[in-house]
Amino acid sequence: MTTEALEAWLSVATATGLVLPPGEMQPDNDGGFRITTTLAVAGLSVGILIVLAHDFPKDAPLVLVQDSQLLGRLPHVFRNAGVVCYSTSEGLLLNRQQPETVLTWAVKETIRTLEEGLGTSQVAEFMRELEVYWRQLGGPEVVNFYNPSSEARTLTSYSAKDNLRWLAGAEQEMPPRHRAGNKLLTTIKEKATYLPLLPGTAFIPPAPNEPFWTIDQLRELVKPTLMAIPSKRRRQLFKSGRDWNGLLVLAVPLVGHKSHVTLLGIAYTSLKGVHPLGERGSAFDLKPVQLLRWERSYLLPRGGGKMSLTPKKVLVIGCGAIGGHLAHELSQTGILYLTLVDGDRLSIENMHRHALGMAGVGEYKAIALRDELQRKYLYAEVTAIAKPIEQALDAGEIQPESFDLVIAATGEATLERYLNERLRAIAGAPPVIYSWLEPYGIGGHALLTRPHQAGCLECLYTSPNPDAPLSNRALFAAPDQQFSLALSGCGSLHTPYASLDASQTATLAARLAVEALTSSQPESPLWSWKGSDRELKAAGFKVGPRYKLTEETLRRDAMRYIAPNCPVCAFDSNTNAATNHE
Amino acid sequence: MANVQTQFDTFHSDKKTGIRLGRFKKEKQLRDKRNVIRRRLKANLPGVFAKYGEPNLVPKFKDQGSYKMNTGIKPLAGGSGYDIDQGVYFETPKDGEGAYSPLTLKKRVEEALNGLTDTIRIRRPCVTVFYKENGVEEAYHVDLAIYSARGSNSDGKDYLAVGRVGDSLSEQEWKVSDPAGLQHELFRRFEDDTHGRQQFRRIMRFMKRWKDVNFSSAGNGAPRGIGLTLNAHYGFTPTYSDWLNRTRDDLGALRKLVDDMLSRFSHQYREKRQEWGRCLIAKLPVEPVSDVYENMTLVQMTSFETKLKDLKAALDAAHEESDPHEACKGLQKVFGSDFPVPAKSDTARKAAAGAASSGLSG
Amino acid sequence: MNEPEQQDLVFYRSGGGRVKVPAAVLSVMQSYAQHDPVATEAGGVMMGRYIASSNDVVIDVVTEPMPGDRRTRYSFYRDKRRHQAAMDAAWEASGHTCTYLGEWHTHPEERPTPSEIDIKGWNRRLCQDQFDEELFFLIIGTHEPRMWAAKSATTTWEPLKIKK
Repeated sequence: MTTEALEAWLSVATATGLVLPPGEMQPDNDGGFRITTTLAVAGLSVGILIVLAHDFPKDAPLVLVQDSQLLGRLPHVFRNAGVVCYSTSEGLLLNRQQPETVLTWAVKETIRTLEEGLGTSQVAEFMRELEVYWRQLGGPEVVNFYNPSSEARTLTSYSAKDNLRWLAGAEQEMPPRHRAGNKLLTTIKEKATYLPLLPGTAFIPPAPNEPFWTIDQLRELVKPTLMAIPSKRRRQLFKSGRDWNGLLVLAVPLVGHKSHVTLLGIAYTSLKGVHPLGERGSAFDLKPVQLLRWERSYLLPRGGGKMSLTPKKVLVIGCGAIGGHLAHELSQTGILYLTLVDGDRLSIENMHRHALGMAGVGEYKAIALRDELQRKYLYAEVTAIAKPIEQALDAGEIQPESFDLVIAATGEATLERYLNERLRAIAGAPPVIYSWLEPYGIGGHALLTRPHQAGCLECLYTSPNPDAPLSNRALFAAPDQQFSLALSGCGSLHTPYASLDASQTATLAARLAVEALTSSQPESPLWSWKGSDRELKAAGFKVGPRYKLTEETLRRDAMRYIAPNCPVCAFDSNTNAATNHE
Repeated sequence: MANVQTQFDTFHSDKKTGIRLGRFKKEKQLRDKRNVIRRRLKANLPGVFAKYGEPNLVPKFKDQGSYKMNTGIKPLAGGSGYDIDQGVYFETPKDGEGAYSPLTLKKRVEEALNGLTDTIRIRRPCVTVFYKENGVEEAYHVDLAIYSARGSNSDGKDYLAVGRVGDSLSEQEWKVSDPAGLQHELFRRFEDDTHGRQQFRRIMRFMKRWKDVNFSSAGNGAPRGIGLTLNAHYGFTPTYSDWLNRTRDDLGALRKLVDDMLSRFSHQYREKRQEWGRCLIAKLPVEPVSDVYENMTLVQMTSFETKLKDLKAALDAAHEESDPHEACKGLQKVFGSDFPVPAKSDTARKAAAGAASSGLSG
Repeated sequence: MNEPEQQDLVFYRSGGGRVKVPAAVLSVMQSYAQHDPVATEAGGVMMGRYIASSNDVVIDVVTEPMPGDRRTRYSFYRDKRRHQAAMDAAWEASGHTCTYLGEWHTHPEERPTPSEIDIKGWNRRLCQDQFDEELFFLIIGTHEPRMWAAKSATTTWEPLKIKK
């Protein structure tokens, strides 16, 4: 924005009464501008400073209240600098073509924010942003693993070797690698008290530049809450012990939310070794503590995961290109309990199309993938079985009926047809998804099958014409073509497909898995994605009739694959016609 | 189910015996005749109009009918022969000042074509030019549908000239007609569905051949081809033995269509004939939204239904039959001798001779 | 015997597919049904087609008792030579498509079940031959005919059902 344009804006803003004279504008050292002027806010004159960065209006202007004393303490005005938080920057679209409009908007928003702050709902405003104000107080950080409940209780605060403290109700709440036995834990434990404040409890948090709460201020604040706890329980909670040091966790119900709370941490030092809320006395030193929200109930839904998916147990058979991506996708949806089965090690030829990349080369895929997932996803509880699925089943290492879903992506049609038959015969067997991809980026497929419901993998190999050669009817490539390339002699067969194809197929299978697990998909559909046939044709291969169907038709026909003469699924669902011979 | 799709394919598409009017010799011949007529009309009409002191009208041509829709079939020997439909559009209003009566405009067309062949006849819906071939008098023909074009009519619609020589003015009619709109309606649902469209066309041809085989061609005894097309419009569903690869099941599709048609026969009032009776309706989905079967008598309707039931029985029997040889013999009875019957030896999977052994049973 | 003679008889296999016994063929076998209390057992081989592109089977020809066969009230012994000759003739006449499908015989009971001798004979038959296809065994009872099917190299007999 040019100096002339800014001056023009300022004179218009002054003329129209948006800002009060005098207004002054000067360039700053960074190539931006500073405007000093005054706003009329609820009858008061408030001096402000508007800071425009050199690349304004890429970012919204910064507005600072110059004389914050005049206004007293206001929500959305950050005390130390007087910065007015007039609008959240996330999701805000600035019209870069019209910087004047942005400037006018910023000033109007500032006035609105300040006026609202001066209004009657000051406390409510503070309560709405309580977490932000508490963070300004600073203090040591404690990682919280405790899932907030509505009951006051005693927690344990652990000292970890990485100089962090961890807070949990029970060790089981911690992610797998934080649990006892883990090298990160020390034996130093401290008592912590979790106290959910009564709904409606409202207060203005301590200001950063002022002294923190005194013990009396704190007692006053929690008094109604304490009164609501039966005295016997209160005695248990605040029993005097060797509480030289301890932690208080106040759970403040978030305004407008039923189950969400803000967690405020307060560390206490008790000179007499008694609990600050159990005794009268004043020999306590209180300090703010920042609780890092690592607890399961906070993290899992926030990441876009679905809470209802977290307890689901999924068995993934095959940890190759599809399986590797798929396991990641499943973890990202919030599915925590994965069992990975694969007897192969990752070969270097597959480095580029496997989700593990070089990190997994030479390792058992199942084990390397488990380690990777547990490293990436705090709460993932992954079991790895590094042997062929048939062996694992025979040895009883896997009970298919204990899973909510099985996903097979082995790339071996014969094995999967065998699994289809074997798994369907197990009483209480879960739904099974089979997923496979085709060469040269032509497409990929995912089939959901359910026991006792028509439609299974064998249907795809069942032609209405029994004389037809055996092939998977769902394939886009024409049947009877051999795609494997020997890159380096025998034993290193390589089916030409790229990592993108594998991950797209994995995504398709993961979506189907989520639908199956959330019961939004009661049927047994065949889903396919269709890519380009350019490379396939360039390599001298042909597409089959199914490739020519439109994506819409493929979706509409998702259940049309079911073969009434399927030897696996039609046989048991068929009610054999009774002999009716007269 | 006997797999008789091979036979349906042969019946439909075989170059020699198939019923499809392919883009081969005969169709080229028809197209050539159509072009001759177009040129003749353009050349002669100015003179004809001048002769009657009428302003010259330059015709515009559009293909229509089964030729346009690609649902044409070869005619049966001794039947009405090959035909092609041609729309002839004139920029002249259907009513008001300077309007032609339908018959007068058709007579102008007839006159312009005079001498082109031995037989040119004005029929109620068209002007027909018959052609002789190999001594057969009316071996094939071109039907010219004469229109008052939409540009000349205040309602923006095309009107077909209906009326033959001898009709009084009140018997003649400018009838709203929209063949292009009809085709659009019929094929709209297959925009995205090549296989469905192809099967729809095949099924149409099978039904038309069934009609030609089972009804005498005279008068309104037979349901009109366009009527069967409309019945299929409402009753056809694509049917495959393998949906994933769109392996067609024409027998299945025919059974569904015929079942649907039979289920739509009911006792109802027939507007045009002002009578109550059991009948099937074939309503145009475009203007004039009339029943294409409205001129059939109830006796003809009864015969239509009976023959449809026979067709259903034959189709069902073929479906039930294990032996393709027997199944096709049954189908040949309803579709005529062009429907192929495979030899028994062609229906078997190759097997070893087998050896008898002595044996005791008790 | 309640089955109207002019109708084809169709047996249904559990895995899909049918076995058709055309009326004309059926009536040949029915004519030996042991309605008469002193009638003796009869039998022969069944020949026909495994229909291409389907799981269906059609019985086209059956051989009838011939000289050399031994017939009693409760047993039937089929002599190989003449039946083989009849089969060879049918095989040639059909352009090498009319093949051996199995065997038939009569029982003097209403709803026939295979006797031990039958099962032994059938199993022997299944073990002897290298058929890819199933074989069929038909017993004509006095009230109804019944058919069983089995794959070669197995001894599991599946009773076929009659459905209208």
